Amino acid sequence: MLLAEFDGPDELLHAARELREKGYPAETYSPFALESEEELEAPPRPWLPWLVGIAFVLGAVTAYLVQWYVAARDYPLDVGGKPPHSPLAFVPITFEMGILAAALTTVVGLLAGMRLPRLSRPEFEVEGFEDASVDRFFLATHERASATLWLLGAKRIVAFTLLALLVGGCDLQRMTDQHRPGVRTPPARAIPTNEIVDPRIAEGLEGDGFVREIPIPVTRPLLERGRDRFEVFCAACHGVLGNGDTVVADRMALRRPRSLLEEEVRKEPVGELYSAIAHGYGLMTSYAAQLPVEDRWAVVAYLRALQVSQSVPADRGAPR
Amino acid sequence: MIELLERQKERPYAALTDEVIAPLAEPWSPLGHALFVATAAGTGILAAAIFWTFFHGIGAWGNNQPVAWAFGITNFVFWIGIGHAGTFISAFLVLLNQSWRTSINRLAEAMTIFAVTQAGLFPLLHLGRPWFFYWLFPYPATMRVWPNWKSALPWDFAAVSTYLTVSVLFWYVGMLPDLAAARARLQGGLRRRIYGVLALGWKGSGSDWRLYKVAYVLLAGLATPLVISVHSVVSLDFATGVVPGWHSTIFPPYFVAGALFSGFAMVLTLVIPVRKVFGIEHLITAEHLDKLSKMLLLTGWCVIYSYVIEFFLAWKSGEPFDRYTHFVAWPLGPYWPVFWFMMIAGNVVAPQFLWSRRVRRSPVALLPICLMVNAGMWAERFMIVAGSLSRDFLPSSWGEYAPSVTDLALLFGTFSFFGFLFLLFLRFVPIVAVSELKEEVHAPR
Amino acid sequence: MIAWLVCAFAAVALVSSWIVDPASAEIAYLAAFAFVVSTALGALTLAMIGRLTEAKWYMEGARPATESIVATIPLLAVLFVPLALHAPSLARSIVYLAIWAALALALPRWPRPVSALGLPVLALSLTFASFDWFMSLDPDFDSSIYGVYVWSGGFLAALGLVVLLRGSPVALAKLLLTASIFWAYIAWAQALIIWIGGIPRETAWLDARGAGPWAIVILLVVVAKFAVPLPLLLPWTWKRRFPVQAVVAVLALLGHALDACWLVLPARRAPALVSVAAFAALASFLFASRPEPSTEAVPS
Repeated sequence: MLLAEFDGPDELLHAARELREKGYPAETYSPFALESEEELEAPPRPWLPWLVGIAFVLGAVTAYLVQWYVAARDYPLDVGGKPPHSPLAFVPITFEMGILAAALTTVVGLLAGMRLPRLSRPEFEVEGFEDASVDRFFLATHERASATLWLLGAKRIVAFTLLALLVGGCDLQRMTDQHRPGVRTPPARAIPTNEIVDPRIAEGLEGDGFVREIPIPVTRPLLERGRDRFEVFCAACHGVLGNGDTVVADRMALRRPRSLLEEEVRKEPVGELYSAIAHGYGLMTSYAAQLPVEDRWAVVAYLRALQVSQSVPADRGAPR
Repeated sequence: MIELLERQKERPYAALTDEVIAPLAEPWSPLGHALFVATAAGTGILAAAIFWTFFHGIGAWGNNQPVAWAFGITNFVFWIGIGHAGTFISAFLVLLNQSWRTSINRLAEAMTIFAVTQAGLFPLLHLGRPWFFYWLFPYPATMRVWPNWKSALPWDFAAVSTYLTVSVLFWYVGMLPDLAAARARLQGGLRRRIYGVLALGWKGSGSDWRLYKVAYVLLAGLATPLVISVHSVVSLDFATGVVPGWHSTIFPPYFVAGALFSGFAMVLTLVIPVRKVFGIEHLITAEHLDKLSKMLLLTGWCVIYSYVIEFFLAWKSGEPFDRYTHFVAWPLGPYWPVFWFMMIAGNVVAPQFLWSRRVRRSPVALLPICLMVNAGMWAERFMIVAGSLSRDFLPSSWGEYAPSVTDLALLFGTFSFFGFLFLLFLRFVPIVAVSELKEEVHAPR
Repeated sequence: MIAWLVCAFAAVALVSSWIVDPASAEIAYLAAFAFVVSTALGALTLAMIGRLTEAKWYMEGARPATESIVATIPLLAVLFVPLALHAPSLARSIVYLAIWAALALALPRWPRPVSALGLPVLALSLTFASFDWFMSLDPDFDSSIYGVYVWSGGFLAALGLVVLLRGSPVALAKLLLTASIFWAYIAWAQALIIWIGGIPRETAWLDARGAGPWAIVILLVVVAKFAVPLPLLLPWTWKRRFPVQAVVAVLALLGHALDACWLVLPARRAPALVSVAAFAALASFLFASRPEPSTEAVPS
């Protein structure tokens, strides 16, 4: 789940339309109602008016029946010579109670439809999101759309880590297949991490190409983490040493997972390695879901270390 | 419709929000303090008068036979009538797609709620035994007696309580996005938390806005016939009776027109000082004053039409009682000053100045006209109630009414209480519907 | 062309019944006259509102159809001639017809002043005319809302006619719904106040119109003008479809014709067939004499 901020309402609407055309779900957040052209031409028919209409009828009928029962059945009184059942006189209360029932239903229906009141939700943890009610414009969409978002002019993107996904609670696939506008808000356990301001970190992109240096500080803990994640996710196909010597590779004779120690791979800029992890490469799927941004750079850093370590000639010992 | 100030044009949404939300955090000006104290004192007088009424009964009022309804009902009809213009601006103008309502609808709705609050006091107070008010509700009582559905008073009960409920709901729902803006913009723990709770967690998502718009139009569509029905029911308090001057089929639309007439005058009376004091003359422009004045003129003419028909038919019918009431009792009887004030100053002459475009756009000219109209409409209700009752069928039963101190205290007190509530509104609630304004700025209709 | 044929046919039927039973023919003619007058003036009201507000749906939509109906208003004077003998006051009748003709002719030339000042003039003149011509049939009866009642029915029928002629933008459908609700409100207010007051000279009027067949007639009127249009025009998609609007429009016109009968005929007891002839004659006369709706741009 990504939350992207845009400069203004027109940019936001444009981005939402583009994303939906590409098949990504897109939910907008704005300080006032925005009507896209599609909506103006063919507005989706809401359910609320029908419910309200039914409520009106029920309220009115109930009021009429109460008046009738009281006046004509239970205790008829001769008031001014008028008959006990007087439809003309029953009209005001009937009408008022119909309106009351309808109005209450409208408000309850509205709140229920918006799933309010709900005072805390994960989006509010994102800095500045509250100003979606003032003058800022946000869009929530699937993580895979991050590259598209940058292209559409997003000022800023924040990622939510879905702990639920790792625990297997949420079916990411199904979510991205929903082509309707409006996206489910992340489950309550989702927390936003990694305020990613920079496409260099988020995508490994710089200018027209890939970054050539790892854009986050490379520390010992990062490398440790990288080794851990590499051995969990990458070693199965690329080997513990990164040389592609695995059972999986043996079985995939036609197109093996390559050795990561090859000259070609060493020459690739780190951004490209990052991109392979984030978006997949060839038959390799994207590991974006399993590896948040920091972890991906950790793996890249470890891979570089691995490449260096596997290329040092045996007679070169450890530096003194 | 609105004009953005130079400094607002660069970041209009933020600037508009701050303009409306910022006052919520600022301390009160000396003027505000003074008014608050004054109206609070007046409200205290109201409370005292209410207590006195409960304690001593209706004998504390000037009511007698034949004038069994006097100030109490006059004030009730007056305040309810004023409320209607607020709902009209909020609701009916939505259905007509009139975008000029956005600057004033929050204020007008607030006026409605506070006016209906004043009105609602009187049906309770004028009951001889107010602690039995719940008898109006059809619950299975041990006495097995039920409310009389052929009387306009239970209709009143249903209508006014529905009206108050729906008005509050409409006002509150309309406020949700602005409460969220206040939550975002205000610093300070308690204030932010209160607005946050009131905002119910509003997040402004696209699907929320779509549903919200539907609900808003639904509420508007419900509130509009509600306005018509409520004041029609109030008019039926009189028209279902046979007192000359009361029993006239035109009363329902006539009262609705009169209610809108006095209500628009009250909206203008409130809008003119507020826009000056809060410096929002660019949000509530001369254009808005013009539109409101035109509504005032239109409804004023509906009232004049009703007068013409009433008087004409009283004469043409040859009915001695009707003729006497309209041509002797009212213009020449015990309340003739009230009658002539209402006829000439308030309701016939004052509105005619509004044919002039200059007058319509000038706050200085409008304010006295609106005050006259409001006074004239109060006088009209008084004439209908006391003027007719004091001179009905049997001359030996004729009698006059004079307000007692309690009556006057209640009338004065309701104005103070109204002012008090309105000041609280100005202090704590975003007085302009900012989210709707932003929508206008983005996509002017 | 067809309209002229219908008119001729109906006129012959009307004249022959006049020879046989002049009283019935006259009262039937009066009912028909009430129908066309109120509908034509309803169109005039619509024209004035449209011109005054310069609403888009009017200026670019309903204007030609509406103002072609308005153009027939001067002919009402011609149609009035058979009634001149028994009208309560010939002088006043001439004044009303003259005022309406003047308004109708002046409206296209000076739209804004005529609309602004004409609305109160129209309201008052229509009210007094309905008092003079229709309410006076029952000399003891007075109802202050009578003029509003006649006008509201006419306004509804006029909207229906414009919808049928023009097809309608959503705004007209919404106006149609509003007019229907407004008419029902006025009708209910009048009936309730008269009934609940129990004053004999008022209730006699209502009783005559609630007796036997007339009770059924007013029930049909309520169904045609309100009970059916309301659920048809409320749903968002339905009110935008021409077939739905057309059904409501036809019901509004038929309902108003029945309403005019209900107002006028019980005063004198007239047979039904004569009324049909009368309605057909007057309505088709005016319809046929409508000028071609002009679609040229309005100079502003």
